[in-house]
Amino acid sequence: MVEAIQTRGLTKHYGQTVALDGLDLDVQAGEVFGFLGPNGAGKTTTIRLLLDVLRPTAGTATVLGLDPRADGIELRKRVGYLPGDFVVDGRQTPRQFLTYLANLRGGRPASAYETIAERLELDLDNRIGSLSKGNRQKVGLTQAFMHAPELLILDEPTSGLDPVVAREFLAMVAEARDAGQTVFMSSHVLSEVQTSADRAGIIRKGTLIAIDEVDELRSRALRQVRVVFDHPVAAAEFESIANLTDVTTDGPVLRCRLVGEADELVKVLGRHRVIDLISEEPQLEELFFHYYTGDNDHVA
Amino acid sequence: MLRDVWTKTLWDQRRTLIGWAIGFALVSVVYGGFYPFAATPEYAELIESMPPGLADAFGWDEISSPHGYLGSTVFGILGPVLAIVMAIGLGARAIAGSEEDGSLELLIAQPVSRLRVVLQKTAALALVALGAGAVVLVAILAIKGPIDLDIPNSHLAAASFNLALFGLFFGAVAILLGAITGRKAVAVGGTAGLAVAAFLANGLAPQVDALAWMQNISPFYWANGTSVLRDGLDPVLTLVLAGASVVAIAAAAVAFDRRDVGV
Repeated sequence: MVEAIQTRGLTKHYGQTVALDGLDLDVQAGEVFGFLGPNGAGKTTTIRLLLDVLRPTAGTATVLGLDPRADGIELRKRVGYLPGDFVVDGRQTPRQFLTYLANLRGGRPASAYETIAERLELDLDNRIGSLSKGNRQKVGLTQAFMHAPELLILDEPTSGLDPVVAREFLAMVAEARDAGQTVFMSSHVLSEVQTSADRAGIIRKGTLIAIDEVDELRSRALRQVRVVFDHPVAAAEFESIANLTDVTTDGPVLRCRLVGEADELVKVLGRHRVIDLISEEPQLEELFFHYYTGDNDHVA
Repeated sequence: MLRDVWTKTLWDQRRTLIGWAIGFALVSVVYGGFYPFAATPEYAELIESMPPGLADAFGWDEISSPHGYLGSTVFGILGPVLAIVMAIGLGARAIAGSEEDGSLELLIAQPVSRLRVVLQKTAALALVALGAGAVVLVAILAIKGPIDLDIPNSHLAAASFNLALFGLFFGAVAILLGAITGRKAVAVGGTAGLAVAAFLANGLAPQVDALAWMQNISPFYWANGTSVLRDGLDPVLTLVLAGASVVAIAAAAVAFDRRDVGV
């Protein structure tokens, strides 16, 4: 099977700035792939290189087996794209805009976008300029999905969406996967992709630092844990737990970072009376830290 | 109107274009309508009393004749200025403007080639320029009888056509600068600067022997309203004028195809 996306040593410099540094990435056909990284990590640069908006400084990319430069038109015919910063002329209605884009793709029946717009509760006949950011994002999502492309490349798709619409969007992603479409979506928040993506790659400073099943990434992720006891505790007792780092105590409060399974920690906690326990969702920044510096280093 | 890039470009500009049409019609009718006042002996005396260089620079030496009057007013100053301003606006928006506001990225991410984007946006500009020329022509034809303007219709049509090509050229330069740099300010400023230089090359350079050749490379000279109104279309100069746009657009297509967009 041809990979939906494959890059080898993909590199992009802007003058002295290295935006992307030798990216090797394989996205399988039919999977939902989360492309994670903080702002400025190179996510958008990668996506623009795949669509021939930008030209690589070095390295290669193929999308659906096609070269972005040489076979750009054929490639883009088969791709639905949502830019990270979705901007259109605000003096038109979504219906006019979507009709135009459908025509550029050789004509699509209005029902193609009407169905999606209805799902996302997008009014097609108000001028785009008068829409909220979230509603504009719906226009962007509609145009990306409306021709049922083989590959969806979505740059920060949930940005600006309210939680209800974001759920609907995730349902659309799941349906796209069920229909055999590939979805490549970027985000700077793990939780946005963790429910829908099969695999995820994490990019930092232009370099891929991790790529794995989403569940695996989560299980290996760092978590901030805070425990409140009914009595003061000593840090020493917890420092012996192998997958715990940065253990500090402050009277009855324990703070630490947990990597992976919580079992051993829970068993030690079981010796005490626990008033409160907070385990924070792993933040992407912490995932980076984990992969970038290795398990044993820690942030001061 | 939403079928393709060029129609969409026109559709997006429709309100602006109506404004420009009114502007060209007004300038033609009002400015052209003053011809009876310029054809008087008093006016000829006034021009006579000016320093000869000044009158030549603005093409006022034949101002009492119909072709001299129109050639130095509607087709010499205000028409070209309107055409330049309009074409720079459209040309700078075509690539650089839509690139700066972010909307170009989505367009080139569609299954359209960059060449098609450049050519279709140019086609929209060319149609607008021809439309402006047509408005001027119709306006002049409408007032021609009442003010007793003795110029053959074919000469008027040729001058209007040249005015359209003249506007197209500066629009093409604005597209070219936008295609190279992606910066609207460069496209607007660079083209406006070129227009001023072209005006000086046509009007002032001939008065200095060593610089007289410069007139030959000025689009103002290629479009030369006065001589076209007097003698009819000059095929060579008109071809040069049209060819200059073709060269600019070809260069724009090459430049735009080679570079990153939206950086």
